Amino acid sequence: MGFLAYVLKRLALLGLVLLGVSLVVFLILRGMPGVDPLAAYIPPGLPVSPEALARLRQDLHLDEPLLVQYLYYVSDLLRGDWGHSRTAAQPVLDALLGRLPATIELAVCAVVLSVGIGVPAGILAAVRRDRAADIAVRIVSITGVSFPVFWLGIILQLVFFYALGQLGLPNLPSRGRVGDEVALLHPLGPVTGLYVVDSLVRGNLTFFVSAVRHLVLPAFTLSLIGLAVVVRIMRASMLEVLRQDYILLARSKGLPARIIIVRHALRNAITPVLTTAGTTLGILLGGAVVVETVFSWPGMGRLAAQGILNNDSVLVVGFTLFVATMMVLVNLVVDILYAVVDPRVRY
Amino acid sequence: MERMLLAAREMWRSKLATMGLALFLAIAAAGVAAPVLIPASVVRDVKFAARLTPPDAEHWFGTDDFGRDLFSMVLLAASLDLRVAVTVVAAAAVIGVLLGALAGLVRRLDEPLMRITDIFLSIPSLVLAMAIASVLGRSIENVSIALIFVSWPIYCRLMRGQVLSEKEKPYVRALRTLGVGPTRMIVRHLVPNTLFPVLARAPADAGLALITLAALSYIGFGPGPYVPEWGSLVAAGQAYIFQAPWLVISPGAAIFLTSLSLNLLGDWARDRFDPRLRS
Repeated sequence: MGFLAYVLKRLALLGLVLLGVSLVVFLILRGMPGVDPLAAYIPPGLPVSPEALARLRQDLHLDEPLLVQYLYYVSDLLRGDWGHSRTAAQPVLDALLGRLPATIELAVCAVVLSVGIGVPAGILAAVRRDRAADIAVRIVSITGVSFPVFWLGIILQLVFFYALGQLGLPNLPSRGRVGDEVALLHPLGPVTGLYVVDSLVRGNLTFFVSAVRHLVLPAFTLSLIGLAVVVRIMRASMLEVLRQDYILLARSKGLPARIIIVRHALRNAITPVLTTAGTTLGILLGGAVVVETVFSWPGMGRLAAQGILNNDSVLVVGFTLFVATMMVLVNLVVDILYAVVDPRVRY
Repeated sequence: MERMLLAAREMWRSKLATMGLALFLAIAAAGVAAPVLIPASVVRDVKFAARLTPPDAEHWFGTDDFGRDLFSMVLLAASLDLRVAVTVVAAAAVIGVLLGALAGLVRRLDEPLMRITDIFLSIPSLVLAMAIASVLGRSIENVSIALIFVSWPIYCRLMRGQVLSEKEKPYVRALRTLGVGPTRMIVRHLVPNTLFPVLARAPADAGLALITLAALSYIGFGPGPYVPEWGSLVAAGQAYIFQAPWLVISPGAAIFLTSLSLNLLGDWARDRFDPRLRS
């Protein structure tokens, strides 16, 4: 199969998956047995006249068969009309897009941290299988999966913000994306919305330092979710590769272990880590809801959590659809990049 | 039965798994005993004069912002959190295994069922559970339903794969030639040989369900101040984090230790029962 054919096939598949995702989300919003779908659109406790309710019902096409409703729903989605969020007092899509850069900044840092720590740790564990280093890495990884991230975040705030501050030592900020004073005295015009990038582009060093300091704790907390996954996949994949004949050949040629691992084994063993990048990102975006809430990080996840408290299901469901779409798109990009790098994938 | 004994003996040899089992049994015992030993009135025993007392001999974990004994609250919460985690995984496993076996045995159902699981698995489970629980309304029951909804597809996938590969093995053909009927084949041979590797996920999944429940509860799906639950105890304590840090320490540690015990068991179960990892 040629490269172009492969890409076209993946694109067609993408359309189908997105259609499926939108169907699941639609059924959650409108097809739940025993739930009046109208409830999602009205603040609880707000007195609404029966005429207004009837009008809303008609506007939303709630009296039509589900299939017809779904077609309306998809065409609204495609036109960018994802409904109105009471929590943000904004259209859902605008509200999410406005907060996307904050979440991206956090999630990308977390991915970098979890891969940066997870890949070497996984390699170490595989190379020293069943020895002290392996057992240590496995114990840390099991501990990592078992740790409730929100609890970790709170403990980090307690230690690195509060305790250090009490001792008069330099501490790390515990909430927000940038210091209030810095934002007032050294304001940053909008470029990409990624504070770390924007402040560098504009040469605003004070802002940059504050933004990075604010990122440390939330990014580390979030990275823990991905870290355990990366370590586990990397270790398993490395063990598999180390069993192959070409590694044996390299060994018998007398190549030093470092070269065998970095040049021969790692190249092949890292594949599964890359292919799960989309899934890992999705898990991190889910975790972002929790981590952003802990650290008052003004991203999409915190907005969704506020939506939950407001019974703003239109927003929460919109967030789910948005995250799922992002995950599907990232998976597509990874697969295509992958086919560029490794022709075996296309067969 | 023999297989179970063998597994039990092997588990005894793995120190980490034994530790996990002991820890889990201790927490489960606390969860079962707590509602019997601790009067339910503790939860409504609001004493503002005694609020935010640091841990001492009388209140081992201190008192919370309602002046209630936090040790009792954390113990009482164990029964709810464990019950939800176990129920969610049990229900998801039953649904997933049945549908997966169906997909593996009935060719016509295979394709549609697999596409459904594909879609479910393409949405991060925490995010999907949020949407479902939000539409159903905020309550622990609805969070449990949402968690079952997002947890069954992986069991379905694994079971289908197991059934498909087992079905082709020579012993199945041999038994068929011997005149073993389809029902007997499925009940006596296919199910026992396919079920263990699939169920090996269950302990680790229970740990995950526990953490996800606590996280959802923490971000706002919690049952309110009069129903003890670990995630919402952490959320309530966070308001006093610098004033009374013990409020978040003990319920958080309870979540961590329970989930750790399940993951230790799960790690062992996966190594033991997953044929792909057996060397």
